[in-house]
Amino acid sequence: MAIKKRNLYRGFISSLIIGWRIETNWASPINVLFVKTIRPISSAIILSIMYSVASRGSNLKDLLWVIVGISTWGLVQSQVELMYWAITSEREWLRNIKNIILSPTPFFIYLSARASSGVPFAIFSFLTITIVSNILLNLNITLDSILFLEFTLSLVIGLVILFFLGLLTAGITLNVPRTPIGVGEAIVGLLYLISGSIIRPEILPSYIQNFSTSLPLLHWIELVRFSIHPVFRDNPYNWGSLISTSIIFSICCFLSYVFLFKLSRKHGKIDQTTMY
Amino acid sequence: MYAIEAKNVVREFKKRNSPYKLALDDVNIEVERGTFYGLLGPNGAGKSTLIKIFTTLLLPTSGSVSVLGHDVFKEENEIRWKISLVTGGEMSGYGLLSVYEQLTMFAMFNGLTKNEAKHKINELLEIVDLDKSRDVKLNELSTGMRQKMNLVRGLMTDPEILFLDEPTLGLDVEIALDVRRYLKEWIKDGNGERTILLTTHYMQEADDMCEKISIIDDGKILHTGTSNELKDKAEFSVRYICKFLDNIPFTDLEKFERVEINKDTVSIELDSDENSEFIFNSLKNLTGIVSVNRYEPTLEDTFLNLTGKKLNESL
Amino acid sequence: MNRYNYKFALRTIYGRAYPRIWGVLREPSWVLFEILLPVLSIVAFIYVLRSFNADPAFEAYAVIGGSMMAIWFNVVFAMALQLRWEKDGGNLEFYISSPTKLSWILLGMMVGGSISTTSYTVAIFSISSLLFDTQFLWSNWYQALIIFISCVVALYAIGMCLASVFLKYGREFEYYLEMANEPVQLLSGSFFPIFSVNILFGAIASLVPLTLGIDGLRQVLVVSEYPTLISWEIETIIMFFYALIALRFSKYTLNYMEKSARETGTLTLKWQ
Repeated sequence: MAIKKRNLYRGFISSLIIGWRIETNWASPINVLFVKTIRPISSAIILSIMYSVASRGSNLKDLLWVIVGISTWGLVQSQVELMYWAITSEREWLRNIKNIILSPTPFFIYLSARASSGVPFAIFSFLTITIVSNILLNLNITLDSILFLEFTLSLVIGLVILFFLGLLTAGITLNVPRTPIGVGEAIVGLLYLISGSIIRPEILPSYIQNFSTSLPLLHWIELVRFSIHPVFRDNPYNWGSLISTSIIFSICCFLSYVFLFKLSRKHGKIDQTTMY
Repeated sequence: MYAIEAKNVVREFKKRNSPYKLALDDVNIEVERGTFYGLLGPNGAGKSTLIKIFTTLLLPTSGSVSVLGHDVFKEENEIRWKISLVTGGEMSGYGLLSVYEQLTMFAMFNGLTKNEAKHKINELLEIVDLDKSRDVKLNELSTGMRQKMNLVRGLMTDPEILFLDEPTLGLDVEIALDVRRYLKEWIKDGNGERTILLTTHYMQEADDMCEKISIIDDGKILHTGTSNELKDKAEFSVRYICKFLDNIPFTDLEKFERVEINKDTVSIELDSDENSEFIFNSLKNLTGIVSVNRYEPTLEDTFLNLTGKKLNESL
Repeated sequence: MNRYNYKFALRTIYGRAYPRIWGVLREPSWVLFEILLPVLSIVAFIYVLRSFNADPAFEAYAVIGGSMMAIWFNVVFAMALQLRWEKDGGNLEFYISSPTKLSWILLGMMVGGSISTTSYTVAIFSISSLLFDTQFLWSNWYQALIIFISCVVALYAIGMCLASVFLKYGREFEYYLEMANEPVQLLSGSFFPIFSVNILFGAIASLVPLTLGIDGLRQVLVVSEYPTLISWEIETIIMFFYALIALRFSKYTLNYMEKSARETGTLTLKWQ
């Protein structure tokens, strides 16, 4: 039976609203804003203090390279986390997953809406860390130094990549009911180390480098760096790598999600609870 | 001394962003020791709120409550030594522990030694036919098995009062009957020292099991009495339902107090059994009678008379 | 005869510690993530330090700090939020209506939690130091053990106090606790020596027992000279007093919060 467009839209909006409520933990908006501001500012201050205490001299490019990597990864973490966390919370605590899957709205629409509810916070966090680090560490990021078109495109493309990555982790989480919390975080944590956010790919073993280069995350973070500061613009940006890897990665992630979803249905793991 | 005594109990709930709710409104209850007492009412009547007050989980807003002579405000620790609570649809527990381990943990919280717990748990598991599932993990139990385990948890400390909050909720008919049968035996074996307070919205359950029942709705106790006393509170004392082949040939229906006609069926309610003879005499001369059934009032009818609405039982 | 004697207390503690310990052993994959994720975090910070061209001693600081942060997360999520989770899971009402003391049940959680957390922390520490070949003064192992135990006990005692706050205030307070993760990382000096920032900052940060624990461990284990204000002996004594005060205080907070929760009706309200 064809799903009507109205169902998709309505399903998306409902999921978005519930995602927002869960994300804000039913707290008042002022509390939410306060919490969402404190955390990235603390992260930025930690980095700044680490730098001021530990550094024996570091050039601007290296410092900026790491800071942009860290702030961008906050975006990755929050977006991907929202997807697999949606499954964990619906299955383990809210016990609502059966009803959601039985509804006519496709499950991935629900997941994408849940992830979308966190986008404003994720972008806010990314900007806060970057701006505060810029001030504290004198990174010389100014409005003139930013290429806004590239920056905006980087955010858009990044969110698309993260959506598909989130779907993949959600699919894996559906099949591992006994360790729901760790799997997604472990995947994100491992990618953190190999996607060129804080560790330069050149120092990694060659097989990891090759794997890392085939993922769009590395190219995406490079685009963010490219758009933010001229110090990264020695060479023109390679759009081809980003677009090709993004398309292949997205297709693979989506197909994997479909397969993993079917697998979890086959083994009856969709609504299985752990009840620690 | 009463097992439970509640006087003028009021419980209000006032929370920001939520409407004000008066859950209990001037409730008075006296439960004698050794009785199987029932609280019958629909969902949202205040039964669970009252049981939470008795089991020291909630304090009344005003009024006084004593359980086995101990005040719930000041002597909650004394009460907790002597009571046990089993709720329906209970999914508490740690999924990775086995039935035996889970029960042992709670036994220890109730002051039993490991040996005492072992003896009691094994005995009770056998009685409820759960001994073969002793080492099964909680997250592998069915709802019925889980509820049996909860019942064992409630009984293993041999409480003086056992509070049961909808204990057969969600159970299939056979297991529900097992549970009810066991509870009746348990209280009988207590020789007057064991008391059960049961809350339920299943009329049949209250009727079968309880020696005394209080009907509660909207936080108020409407009436208290034995099952028969409560049934006398129904609007009628006998009801006849007559079914005919097609048209209803009955005449002089205006002679009766309450008549309801539905296509080929007529329901006649009488205030007294004396008029039954008139009905039988009338029926003798009629043709096309399919069936005639006689009903005495149920607790549902009493509830309907007292509140104007049905109990909404599902069994 | 006083029914609330030490035997009853021990039975309760044992009863509640049991699922904490055996639950973990029955789910070994859980252990993997409790160790793997903090290790990844340490690896990330060490590479950040390398990009800052930091002294190699900082890697040792990061290994110690990152390992100890695992205790903080365990205290927060497995201890402070435990009563809230028990309420949502339906266990709390049975704990409360049983004759034992809630503080003993929490002690049981503390005992069980600290055993599992200690093993994770040791594993995280071992793996991280092997990965980066960091050098430590292993001859000071007994001093390190004393500091570590004091820190764990102090943190868990604070967790017990927080548990009662959550019992009363519920969901909204959880939000603030999650918010505290980064500030605690900052104040505890997980990845840098706290007293090299600023003496006053370090003094204020010492209000968090984790800061003292990390600082003490660095003093005794790290090879190079470590900038600090207070000796590890004094830090251990301070943590010991933290633990005593918090444990004592938790008894009153628990009683108060339970009474208050019974009055407002939040004791059994789920998802509040």
